[in-house]
Amino acid sequence: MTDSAAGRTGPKSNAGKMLRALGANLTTVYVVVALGLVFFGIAAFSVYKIERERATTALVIRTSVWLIHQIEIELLRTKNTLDRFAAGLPDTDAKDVQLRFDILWSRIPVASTGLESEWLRTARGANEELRDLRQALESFDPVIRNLAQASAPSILAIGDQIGEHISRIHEISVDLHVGSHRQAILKELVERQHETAIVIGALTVVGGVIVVLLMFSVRANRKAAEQERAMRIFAENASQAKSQFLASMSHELRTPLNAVMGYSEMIRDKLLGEAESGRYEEYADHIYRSGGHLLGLIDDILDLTRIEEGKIVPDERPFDIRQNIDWCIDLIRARSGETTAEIIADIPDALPAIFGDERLIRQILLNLMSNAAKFTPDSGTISVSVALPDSGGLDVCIADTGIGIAAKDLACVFQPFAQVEGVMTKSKQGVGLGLTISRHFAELHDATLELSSALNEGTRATLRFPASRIVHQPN
Amino acid sequence: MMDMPRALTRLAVLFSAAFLVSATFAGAAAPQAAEPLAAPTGDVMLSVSGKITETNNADRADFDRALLQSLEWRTVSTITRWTEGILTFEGVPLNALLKKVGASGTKITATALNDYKIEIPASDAEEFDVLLALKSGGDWMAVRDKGPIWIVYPHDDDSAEDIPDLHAYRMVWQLRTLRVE
Repeated sequence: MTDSAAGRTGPKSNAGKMLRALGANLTTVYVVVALGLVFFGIAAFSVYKIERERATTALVIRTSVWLIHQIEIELLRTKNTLDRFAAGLPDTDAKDVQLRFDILWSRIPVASTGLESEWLRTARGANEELRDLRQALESFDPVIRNLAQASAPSILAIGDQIGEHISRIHEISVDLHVGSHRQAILKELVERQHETAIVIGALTVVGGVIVVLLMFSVRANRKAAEQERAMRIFAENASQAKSQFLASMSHELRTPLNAVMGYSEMIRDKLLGEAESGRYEEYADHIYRSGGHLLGLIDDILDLTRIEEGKIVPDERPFDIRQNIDWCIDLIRARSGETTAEIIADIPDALPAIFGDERLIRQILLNLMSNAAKFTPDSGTISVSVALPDSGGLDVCIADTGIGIAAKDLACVFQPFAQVEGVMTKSKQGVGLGLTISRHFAELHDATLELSSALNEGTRATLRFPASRIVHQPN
Repeated sequence: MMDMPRALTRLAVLFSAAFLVSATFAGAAAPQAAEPLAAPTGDVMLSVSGKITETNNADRADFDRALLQSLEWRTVSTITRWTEGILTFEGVPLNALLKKVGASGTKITATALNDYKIEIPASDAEEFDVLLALKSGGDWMAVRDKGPIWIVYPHDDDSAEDIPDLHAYRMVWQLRTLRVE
């Protein structure tokens, strides 16, 4: 169930992506489809037209040849019947002659009008011969209508004239069959077919090129849109981070400043009267502490800014880590009011030196221990230990039994100004920059800073230096 | 200009349909068997032979103009491949003639005066309303005008190129005999 659902998600989201891309370029898609239809229409129409033309040409060639033959045959039959009549043969009477003559007559209009004789009429001398033949038949008509009174020579004369027409019609017939006329029409048809093929080919190529260009344009548009979106999101995030940073910073700076302003005002105006001068000293102490806090804050902010601008260049040389750990423990213990929790140090006797910027490493240690002290109750313990793992590096571990950090909050404590809700109380004022700066400083030394914690059980911070940072000095 | 002849065609078709309906009713009212085929009195224009039950000259049925005129009469307008414009033909529907002679075959061989010969499926008579035209443009057709009888397949297409070849071949003019097989 889950597998199949997951299996479907991939293609589905892909299809969705494509659909969205298509939707964004709907106009282009319409244009492509419309162009395709137009090209197809033109091509189909051209093919239909040339096919119809071919069919019609084939038809008129066929029928024209048939019709010219029919005239020739009827001329021969009429002449034959006329000859038999003139010879006085018993099987041929005037009616037979007239019938043949009428049939011959009926062939002339068939060869002169209508679709089937279209091509016949374009043959060399065809129109003239058809006109001459019609006139000849009209001139024979009175004799044929009145054969009983006709003289033998006049009948024979008609026969002779018909004979002349037979040879002329035959010439047209031959021309239609094998002459240049037939070749011309066939050549023209083939040429027109070639032209159509070229036009269709050109249309296809042009259409293809347009489609390819449009596809490129679609792709380019999509790419540009994606880039634009990514940049916009990046800019939005950056802007949001900056606003958040400014808001947090203002708040953090205002709090101690308010204290400075408030307490100094009370002292200046002797608000509690001369008698309470003891309290004024306490206020002055508040002001001093707030000033100190403010200084630390501004230092942190400056550090962070310099880190972010990449302006911190570590001043690296081998230094003694133990000295620094001791110094930090002493400092934390000395800070009055910070904690009374027990601090246990477990540090091996022989420690190699670390190659790095002593000041920065000390700040990391101080930050971590300060955090531990801040969040550990007076009855708790803070243990500081150093281990030398097999990898050849050096681990400094600061563990406390304090309030701890929930798993969901652990990820964000390295963010600038991160304040775990409900933890940052007034008494435990934290800038929220300590861990951020510490991790940056650790990274400057190729070291890692890891935090593991469980709510209400404690937090363990581990600073791991790689072997490359360890200097074994000859004793 | 184009509309008038077309309208006429439609009108003609309508009339023919009306005629056909009335003829069918008339046929139902008066059985054909009761009326034997009369002998022709004028020149024989058309001879029908083969599988027919009604004859008037030995084993064939001869028709003169008067006999043909006594049959169902219909007007049809159409273009042809051999003429210009629309022609109006009048004559006997082939179907009516086949009924009159009691034809029972599936094919008909039509022969013209010039011995042109072609086979026509008997089903064409009904399917395409084939007409044995005797008049064109209101005048009897002479042999010189493709008469006296022209087998007409009506078409109301605009272009002669749309007339199927088979119909053109079967439009026999100067028709003389029909043989039913």
